[in-house]
Amino acid sequence: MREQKILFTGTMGAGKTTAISAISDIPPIVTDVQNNDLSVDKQTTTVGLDYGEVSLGSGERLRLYGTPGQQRFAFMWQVLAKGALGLVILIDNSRPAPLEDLQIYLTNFAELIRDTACVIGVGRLDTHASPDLDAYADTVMQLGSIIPVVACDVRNREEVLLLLDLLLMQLESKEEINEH
Amino acid sequence: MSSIPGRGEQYRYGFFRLAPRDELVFKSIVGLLSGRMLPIWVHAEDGQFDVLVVGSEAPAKARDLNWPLRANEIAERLKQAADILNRSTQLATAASLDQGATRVVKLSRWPANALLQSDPGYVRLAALLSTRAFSGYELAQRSGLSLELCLGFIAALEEQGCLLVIELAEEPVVEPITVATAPVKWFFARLRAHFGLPGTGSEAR
Repeated sequence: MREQKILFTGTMGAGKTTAISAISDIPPIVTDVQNNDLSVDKQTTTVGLDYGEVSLGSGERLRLYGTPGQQRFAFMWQVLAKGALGLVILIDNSRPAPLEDLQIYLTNFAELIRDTACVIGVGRLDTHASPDLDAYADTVMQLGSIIPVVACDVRNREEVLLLLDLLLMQLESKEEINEH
Repeated sequence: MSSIPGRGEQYRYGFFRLAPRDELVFKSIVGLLSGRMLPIWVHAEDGQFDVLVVGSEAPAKARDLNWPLRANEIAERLKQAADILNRSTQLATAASLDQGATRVVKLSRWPANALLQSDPGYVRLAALLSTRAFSGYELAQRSGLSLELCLGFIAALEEQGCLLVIELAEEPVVEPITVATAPVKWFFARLRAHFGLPGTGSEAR
């Protein structure tokens, strides 16, 4: 168990790079370019992946990967998902249809979610209260899953750590089942 | 747990397929560290032990301590095991007083945010219940939160219709006292330690 990886995915501007920065031991390696999507108020966006890591000593390491946000890079998602320990989905509640955004990630990462663990962090709820967290839980439920959904400001390290904590809680429980 | 009445809390370890020389080393290390470790660990001659120290060639169960171990690892793992033994006993006693603690339940849907906001521990409990079924007692043991809080959460979930009752257990199930050997569990435990996240007790199962 020398290395494991966790994936951060979500819409463009949801804060994947910021979330990785919040917990990575190293400054994240980013592959941003100028954003040409005028519907999103963001100067640059990730076209490849973000990368951060957490060193645990004795050569053990957690790798943190951020996927490109735009669906046109979905082919990258499956590549990155391979072998991941779990998935963090970040949603920007200020976007026009955030519940539909969520559905895209739940569908595209269905296999990873089924086999590992997932947590959903919803951002910008302070300025955009609707849809609320219960609506997100309903959306997840409609797709036949139960996934932790919490509000998350990725600029706040404690809130990013809560996402990690909830992911670990699920993974540890699942590991227990596998043992029995 | 097999604490010895009247002598404070004492816990017992046994050996399985360990070379006599290694047994001696283990006993010496435990003896030297006993001033730093509370409660006291003693060698069980009668086969009734709380933790088994297993030789490197022998098949080990999840609960066993696999030899070889460094002195600091011995201290850490015995301390963890004692903590869990102690907590198990306390929780089992509490659980036996409340039949609700033995009911095995899991989430049927993610709870309303208003409920989760009412206590900081609730979201962690919900995350646990989203993966598999727990009794109230197990939930308390697993989360490190009080049994009272866990039972309160379960009652609130039931009120909201978010609960699936799996079965009724006859008696509270006391989790076996174990020291994990699975690498992935230690990875999770180290990750928690790295970030200062609260433990879940899983590293000791």
